[in-house]
Amino acid sequence: MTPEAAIYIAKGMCILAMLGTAIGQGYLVGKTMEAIGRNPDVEASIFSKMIIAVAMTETTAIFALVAFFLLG
Amino acid sequence: MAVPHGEQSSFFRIEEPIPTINAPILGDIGIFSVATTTLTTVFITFLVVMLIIKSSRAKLVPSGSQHLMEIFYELIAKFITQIVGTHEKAKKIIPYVGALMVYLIIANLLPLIPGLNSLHLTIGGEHVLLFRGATTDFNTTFGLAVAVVVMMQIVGMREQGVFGYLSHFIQIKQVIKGFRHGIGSGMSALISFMVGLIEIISEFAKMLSLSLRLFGNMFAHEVLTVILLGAFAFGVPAIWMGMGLLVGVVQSVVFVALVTVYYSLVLKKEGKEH
Repeated sequence: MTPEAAIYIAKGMCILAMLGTAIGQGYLVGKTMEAIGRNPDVEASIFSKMIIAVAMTETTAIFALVAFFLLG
Repeated sequence: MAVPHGEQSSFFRIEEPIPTINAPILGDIGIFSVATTTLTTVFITFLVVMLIIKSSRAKLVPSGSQHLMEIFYELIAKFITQIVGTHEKAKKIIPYVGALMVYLIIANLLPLIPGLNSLHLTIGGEHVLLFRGATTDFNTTFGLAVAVVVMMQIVGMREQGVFGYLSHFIQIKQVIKGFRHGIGSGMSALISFMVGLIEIISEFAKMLSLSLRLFGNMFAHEVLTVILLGAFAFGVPAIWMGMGLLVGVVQSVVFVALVTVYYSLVLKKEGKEH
């Protein structure tokens, strides 16, 4: 195996970190929808908090993406 | 890394080099290297100074652009009050964190101004953007994060006294007190002593996670824009650039929200006996 091939395999493995992020975000948004469904009045205050939480969950994937770009 | 030049028609493609992690260096001034993002940082600082001059001339009865600035201030104030809970604490936090918010929003949204992306330079036979977004450089975000964490230490020492603040990290007093009580509470005090040492590491982790989050999001957005322009230049990149508005605002809000939480944690221990 050439070093270049190893880099490509490593890059693919980096992207696997996004699996967990996707599960987390789906859970988060699903729970938010559930809360809005139960109490539609709080939609405005919950929605902005959800956006912040989604951005924080995304961080893990972004760390993986930084590693992806570093493996030049 | 450059987009490979294919043989096929490039009608729907705008091929640009993918931005590198390190911003291209323009030249040296003394021992400092001036990168393309340094230019943007200077430009943003200039804008912020203009804003300060403008806001120092505020009148009691607002008119014109002062309306806009007051709306923006009220949004930030409301947001911070929501996080920390009380108005007294929010008053302490707003001047510092609000300035950070203004800086970050300008820095994140500046690259989206049409036309700024068209200014190119040629360095060593390679085309580079003249005004690359300031937050797409790790040095900018890391500098901001270090400033924030150092500021937290200073605020903590001012609010709780130097020894009062440092005793959260090195809890020798509690260990001695615990062993006087008995062997059981001594052991649990020893565990919280170890946790206190881990707190020191978590201060450094704060720096890394704050800066990497902002840098990663903005840089990934930039790279994906270039890739989308290279793949299909009509329609799709426009949607993605519109998404850039959302990403820029949300990431600065997240950065500011976390800084506010750290700040209020430092203030919270005030008056509590440890």
